[in-house]
Amino acid sequence: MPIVRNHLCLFILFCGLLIYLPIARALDDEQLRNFQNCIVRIEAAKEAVDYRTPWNSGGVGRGYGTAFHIGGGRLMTNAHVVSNARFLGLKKEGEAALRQARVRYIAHDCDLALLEVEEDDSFEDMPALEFGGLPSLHSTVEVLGYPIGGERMSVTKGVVSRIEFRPYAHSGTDSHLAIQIDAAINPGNSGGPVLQDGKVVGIAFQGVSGKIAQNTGYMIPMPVVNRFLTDLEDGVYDGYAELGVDHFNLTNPSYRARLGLPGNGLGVVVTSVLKGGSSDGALERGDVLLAIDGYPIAADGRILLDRDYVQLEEIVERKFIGDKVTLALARDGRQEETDIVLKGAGPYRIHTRRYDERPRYLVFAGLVFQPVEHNLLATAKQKPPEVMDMYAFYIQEELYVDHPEIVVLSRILPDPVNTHMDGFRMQVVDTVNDRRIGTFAELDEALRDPAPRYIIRFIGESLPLVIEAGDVSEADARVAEQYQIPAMKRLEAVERAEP
Amino acid sequence: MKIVFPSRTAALTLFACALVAVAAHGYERSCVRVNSTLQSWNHHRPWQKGKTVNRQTFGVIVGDEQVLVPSTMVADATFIELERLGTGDTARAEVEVVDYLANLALLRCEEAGFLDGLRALSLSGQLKTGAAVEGVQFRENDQIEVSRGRVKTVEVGGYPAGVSSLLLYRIKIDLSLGLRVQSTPIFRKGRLAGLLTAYNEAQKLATAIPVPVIQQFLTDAEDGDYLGFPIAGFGFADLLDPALRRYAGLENGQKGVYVTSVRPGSPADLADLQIGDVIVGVGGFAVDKRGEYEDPVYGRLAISHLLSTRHRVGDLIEMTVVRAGETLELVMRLGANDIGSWPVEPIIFDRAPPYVIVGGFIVQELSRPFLAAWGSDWSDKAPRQLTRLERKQWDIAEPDDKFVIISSVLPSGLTIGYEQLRCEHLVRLNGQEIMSVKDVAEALDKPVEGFHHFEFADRSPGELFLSAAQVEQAAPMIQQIYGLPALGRVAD
Repeated sequence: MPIVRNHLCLFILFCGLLIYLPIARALDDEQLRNFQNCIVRIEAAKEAVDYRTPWNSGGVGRGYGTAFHIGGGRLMTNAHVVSNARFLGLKKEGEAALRQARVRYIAHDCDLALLEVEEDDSFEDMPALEFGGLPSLHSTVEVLGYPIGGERMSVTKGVVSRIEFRPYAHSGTDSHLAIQIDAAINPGNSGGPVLQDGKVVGIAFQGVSGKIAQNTGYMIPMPVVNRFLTDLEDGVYDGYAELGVDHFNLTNPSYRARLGLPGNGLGVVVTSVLKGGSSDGALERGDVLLAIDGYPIAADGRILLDRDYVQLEEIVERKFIGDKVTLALARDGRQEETDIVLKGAGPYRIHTRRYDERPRYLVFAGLVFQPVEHNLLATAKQKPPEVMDMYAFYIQEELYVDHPEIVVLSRILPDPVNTHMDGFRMQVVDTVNDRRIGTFAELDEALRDPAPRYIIRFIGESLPLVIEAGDVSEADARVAEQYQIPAMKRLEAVERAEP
Repeated sequence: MKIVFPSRTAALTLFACALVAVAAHGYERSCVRVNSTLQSWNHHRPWQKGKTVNRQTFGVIVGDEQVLVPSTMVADATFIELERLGTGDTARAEVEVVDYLANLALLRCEEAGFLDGLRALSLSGQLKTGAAVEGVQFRENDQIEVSRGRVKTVEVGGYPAGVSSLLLYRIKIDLSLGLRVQSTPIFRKGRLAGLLTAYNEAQKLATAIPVPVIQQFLTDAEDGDYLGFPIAGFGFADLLDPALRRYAGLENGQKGVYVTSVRPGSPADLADLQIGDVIVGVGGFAVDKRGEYEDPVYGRLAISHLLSTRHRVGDLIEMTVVRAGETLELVMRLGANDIGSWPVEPIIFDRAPPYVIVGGFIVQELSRPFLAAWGSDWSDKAPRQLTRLERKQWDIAEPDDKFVIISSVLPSGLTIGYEQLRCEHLVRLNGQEIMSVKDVAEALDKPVEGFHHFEFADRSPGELFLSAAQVEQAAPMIQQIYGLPALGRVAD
């Protein structure tokens, strides 16, 4: 029985090949060669910065990815392929030479980057891929790239399964439109073009790790790509704008009745407004948002845009910092309209993964201070509740107002002067000699201010840390020598030299 | 007298003699088997109880026909039964006095004369490090097997309720039969020396509740008005760092600990102990920089022993503190540890948690048993807004106030759009401040313009409304479809 079934299967498969393969081939053969000439394989030497030893340079590893030429010697790829790169090499299909490239623009919030090759005209003459539009659901696309680091170009076919707002893993905090396809996207595919009818309709960028989903990949669709290209037209990439409000759906009949809203299923209620954000001063808690740029807002926060129900934030997604948004709202029973000038991410940045930065730190008598951000906490072993609460409630409780930065005593380099201070690790600095510390620079100032001793107090901890001034310079000298620290501080997150 | 064993054989002989001698003590005539069935309330479905758990232990007969067991054996008990060793006769018993913080309970048999012929044990004196003790294990046929061990350390350590630190024995003993029960008594020279409550098989190390703790529990229980072990109500940190010692106003060579917290209204607060004070002496003993003193019996011991076990509720104790370079004498009257008044109650046994169901919202009081649903590492795993309330309870609430939360929602037509609500701290309802489930029940009688107005600590959603008429109308339906025995249980 099993043998018979096998034969049957083989037969069906064979017939299938007979019928479909030649046609598919005829379509692909000619085009594929053209496509091959437009894409390159990226080899990147990437530095992994260790926030636990912020004065050191990190280990260097290799990464692979794909880029494609979009004209004028510019190659498009994912930000995550080239972020933290110390050297970027591009290789054309079938060529031996590795050419050094540099990052011209990089957008970590939407995982896109543009590369250029210096002193090499051959890239200017390279054929370029054209951009298309949004593919329709259930249509077929081809993914080109160099998955798992292979040397030869690979082509995978997939079907467009879903178009939706999704988290972008690279920054960890951004969500944009993404297209799910039923072709696996593997490391090395990243940055590769996704084609339909010979035009780029997206850029392969992330898969799904884990056991639940299989054969699922995601691509960055053209609205996001186009926004990136428009943003950098002035020579600077400014990034996404934020409305800076939290809102709550008004689907509950009691809530609607209490607010005196009609049963038309429209409107969401503003629950908080980010201080210093785009809507500060224009919106208030309790405002009911009814329309954005003329699009009526449903009670679940969605609007009908291009025949799709999308989150109202999609309007802001497609705009730029400095653009205007018009909101229709109900306040105290009256309908109003207000214009809002859009601003950038602001305090939300604390939760974002950082790239292409050297970590900030300050060493004082063997005590290492660092500002809290995602990268620091990602490597911290000790995470006391006070700092984790501040990080978690930073936006919601407006802690950014008093603490533009959260400064912690991140580690202690043992020295006779700090032997008994381990209990203060990862505590949040509140004051130094009664001066409130709201930024990293303020800590530096306070510790440079001459005083007989430095009394450092931490939030939620009544025991102070005391360093006597007479001990500091000797301790600093010992620590620098013992732990091989080239500089006792870096106050600015220096951009890395371009590779 | 020093005994030097000439050879291994001689040692074994001596040991055999000891076994015989021990048998003569007749420990089985002072022990009964205690079988209990425990059933805790489900703190996330507060209208119902959870699964039953059966426990078996050996109780020791003390005093006036009372049976002493660790309180973990009778916490939330629905059924307790005593069983005579050998005969298997049983009789029901009830808890007479229990102290969950000291992990001790006294049971009384409901059947007069059931313990006739059994003999109450008296307590041994205080044991020092190195003292020989006997542990008993019971064979299947109720025969006693005695093992000898030694007190390895006497220290102050955490008790199972996670609230108090009291004296503990760590005993090196080989209980190779394996403990078939959750606890067993230990003896010294025919008298009760402690209750063994945990055993590490690999290290052959047992943890036992020591005589001084048992003694104080029994003495306190005698008059029928049990007060419990006292508390002082302050926290302190080591002063190991010389720069910190100088900053705190200590002179060269002076030692002490730094007061880091003083609970409002506590004995320490009433005695005017302040944050930043350095405690240099307690009850006439000098305090070192780690917070230990030289105990006349046990050697180095944490000062909390002086405050919790060496003294009793109502006792006056002197504290010497250094404040801004000056030495002060404070007198503190030790108080009872009233954990029922904690804003976030650390344990809730033998009583049902209060709750109210409002249109599908499950409204209850935050407690540590509620948080324990996130596992033993709940302080990392439970929602941050709740663990923060637990941690800061004394900074933001008065004694007896509770944090009321909407723990989750039983979805109904009323709660459309509210289904995602989880663990929201309710601060006001219909304009009334909410400090207990009782407050909620009262506020529900006063809807505002026909709506119940919920206000939360978290900004999102910040506030919600439910139609009061609809809440009332839907109540029987919600009760029926979710199979609720009642829509609330409010403590008096």
